[in-house]
Amino acid sequence: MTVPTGEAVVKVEGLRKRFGALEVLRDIDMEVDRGEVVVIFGRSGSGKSTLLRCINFLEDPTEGSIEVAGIRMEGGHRTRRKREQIRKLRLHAGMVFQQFNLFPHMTALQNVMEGPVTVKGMKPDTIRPMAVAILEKVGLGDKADQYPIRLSGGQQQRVAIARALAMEPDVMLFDEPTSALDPELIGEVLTVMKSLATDMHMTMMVVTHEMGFAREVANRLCFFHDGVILEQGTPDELFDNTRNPETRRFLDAVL
Amino acid sequence: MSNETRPEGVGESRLPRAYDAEVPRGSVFLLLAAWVLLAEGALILVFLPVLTFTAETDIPAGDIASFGTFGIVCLVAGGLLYMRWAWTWWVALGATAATLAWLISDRGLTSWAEVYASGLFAAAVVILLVLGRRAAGRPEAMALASARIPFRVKLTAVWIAIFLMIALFLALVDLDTAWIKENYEYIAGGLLFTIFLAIGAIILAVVLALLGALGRLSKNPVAYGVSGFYTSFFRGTPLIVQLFLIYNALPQIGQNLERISLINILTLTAFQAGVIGLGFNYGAYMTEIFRAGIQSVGHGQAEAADALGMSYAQRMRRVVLPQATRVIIPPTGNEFIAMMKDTALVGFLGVELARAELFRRANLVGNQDLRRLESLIVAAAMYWALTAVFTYFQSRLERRMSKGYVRGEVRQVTGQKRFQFLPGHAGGGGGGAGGVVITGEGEDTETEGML
Repeated sequence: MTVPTGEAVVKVEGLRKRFGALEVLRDIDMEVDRGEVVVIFGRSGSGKSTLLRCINFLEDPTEGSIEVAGIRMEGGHRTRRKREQIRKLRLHAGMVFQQFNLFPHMTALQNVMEGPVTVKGMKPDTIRPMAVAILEKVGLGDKADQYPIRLSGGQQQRVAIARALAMEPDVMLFDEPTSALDPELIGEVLTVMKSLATDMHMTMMVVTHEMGFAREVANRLCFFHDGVILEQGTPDELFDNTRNPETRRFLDAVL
Repeated sequence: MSNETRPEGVGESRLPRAYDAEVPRGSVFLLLAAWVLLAEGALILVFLPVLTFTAETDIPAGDIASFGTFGIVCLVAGGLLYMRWAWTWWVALGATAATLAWLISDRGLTSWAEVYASGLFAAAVVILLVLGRRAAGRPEAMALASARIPFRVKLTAVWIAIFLMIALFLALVDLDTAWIKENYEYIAGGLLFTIFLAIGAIILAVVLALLGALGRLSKNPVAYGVSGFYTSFFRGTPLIVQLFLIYNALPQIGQNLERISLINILTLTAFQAGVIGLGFNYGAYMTEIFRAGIQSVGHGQAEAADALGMSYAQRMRRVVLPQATRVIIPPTGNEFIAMMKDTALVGFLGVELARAELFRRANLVGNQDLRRLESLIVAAAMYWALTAVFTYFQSRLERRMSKGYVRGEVRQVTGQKRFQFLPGHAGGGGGGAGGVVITGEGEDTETEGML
C-alpha cells in the first residue's frame, strides 16, 4: 500500500450521465490523489464503468466537471474546441479495457510505441528503448515481436497496460481488466497492476471485483450503487466494518 | 504412422500399399481408354450437326445416321469398360476399329485434318486398351485407379477437352484466319487504352469510395447527405446513360449559356469521359464495400485509439483503415475485374480512331470487312485473357493476405514492416474464409494457378 501525497490528480464534481431517460450517474463527487489506488466496485449497471469512461471522455458527461492533471473540462455538448481539450486531457489518463483492444495489425512493441509515435510525434528510434523497457517491466520482453493473436489473454492485457503506460499518464484507468480472462491468467495481470502501485506509485482507478487485489493494494474502496457512491473507505473499513446493508450484501456475494 | 508402411510410395500414391497389390497394372490405362472413348463419342454427337451444316456438299441422310450411330457406339463402349465383364474390352476394341474404318472411308470425312484427328484418337484408344488389358472387367480396379489421379489432373483434362472442342468448332465454321492475322495487331492496340482506362477509373473509384464511405459513417449531415446523394444517383442510373451524359450532354451546358470557354472545358475526350464515368459509377458501388470494411473493425479499436489521444485522422490512418483494408481488398479486386469489362461501353463514345479501346476497334474493323465473328471472338478472347491474368493476381493477393492468419508464428517478423495483415478480434468475419483457404492449400494453389 502506498501513501497518497494529497495532491489531487483527478477531480470529479457534480458528475451526471444520462443515456436517454436512464440516469446512470447521479451527482458524483470524487477526488483521487497522486499515488492513490482507488478500487471501484458494485453491481453491473451501477455506473462504475461509466464513471471511468466519463473521466477520459469516451462518454460525454451530461453535467458536471472533470479535471485530470489540471485540465478542467465541463460536461455537456461536445464542441470543436472542446474536442482538442479532450485529446489533451486523454494524454494524462491511460485506459485499460476489459477486452484489451490491442491493435491486431501491430506487434506488441508496435502497439506500445504507437501512442508516443503517432500522438506525441516522437521518433521511433527514440522511443523504442523505453517501449522495450516497459514491455520487460510487464514481463513480456521476449514477446515484443509477436502479434496479439499469438499472445494469451493475460499477455495481451499486459501489453495493453504497457501501451497505456508508454504515454506516461498521470492516472491509469482500469475498466474490469481481468473480467475477460480465464481464471488462471488473472494472477499475472494483477501482479503487474500491483507492481505499478507499489514500485511506480502510479495513480490508479480500478473497476474490478478482485477483492483480494482490492484489500492488498487499494488505499480506498468505493461502492457504487444505482449511480451514486453509496459508501467509501479503506479496505479495512469496508470489508470488516461496513454498516451499510447493501454493501454488506454485495460483499457477501463476491467474497 | 510407422516408417515401413510406405517408404517410397509417398509421392505417387495416397492409397495404402494393401490396395496397390490388388490393383492390376493396366487399370489406369483402361480408365484412360474409357475416357477417350467417351470423349470421342461425345465429340461425334456434338459435331454431327455442325458437320452437317458446314460440309461443302450435302451429306446423305444415311451417312448422318451411321455417323451418329458410331458416336453412340463409342459412348456405349466407353461406358461398358466400367462394367464387370471381360468381353467389354473386345467391344471397345471393335467399336474403335469400326469407327475409324468408317471415318477413313472417304465418304465420312471432309478433310485430311479430320482423318489425322480421328486416326490419332483411334490409335490412342487401341494403345490404351492393350496396355489396360489386364484390368478388363475389374470396375473396382478402375475406381481405385481413378482415385489415384489427382483432382487437378482431371480438371486439366476437362479444360483441355473444352478448348479442343472450341478449337474444333472454330475450325469447322471456317473462320477467316488470314483476316485475324491481319487485323489482330490493330485490335490488340486497344488493350493499352482498355488497361489505362480501367486503372485510371479504379484509382478514381477508390478515392471516391473512401470519401463516400467516410461520409456514410459521418455524423455530419452535409457529409452524410452528399455521399448519400452520390451513391444513390450513380447506382440508380445506367452506366451507359452516365457515360453519354458526361461525354455527349455536358458540352451542351456551354452552348446553352453561349460561353465558348465553358464548351471547351466541358468537351471531354472519350478517354477522359470514360475514366470519369466508370470511376464515379464504380466508386458509388465500392462505397458500400468500403463502408462495410470500415465497420467490420470493432468499436473497441476506435476507443483504444481515442483513449491514446489520437485524432480522427490518426485513428483512421493508423488503426481503422489498415484493418479495414484486409476486408476491402478482395471485393475491390472483383470490382476492378468487372470494370475492366465495362470499359467496352466506352467504345460507344468518341470518334478518335487512333485512341479507340479494344471493343471499338474490333467493331470498326469487323463491320468494315464484314468479319464480325472473327473480330468479336478476338476481342472477347482478349478481355478474357486480361481478366484471367488479373483474377490470378487477385487470388494470389487474397491468399497472401489470408496467410497472415497462420504465418505469425512461422515467419519471424522483423518489425520493419509497419503493417501486417492479421486478424483482429473484431474482424472475425474473415476468419472462416481464411481457414478454408488454409486447409485446401496444397491443391488450391495449383488449380487456381492453372486457371
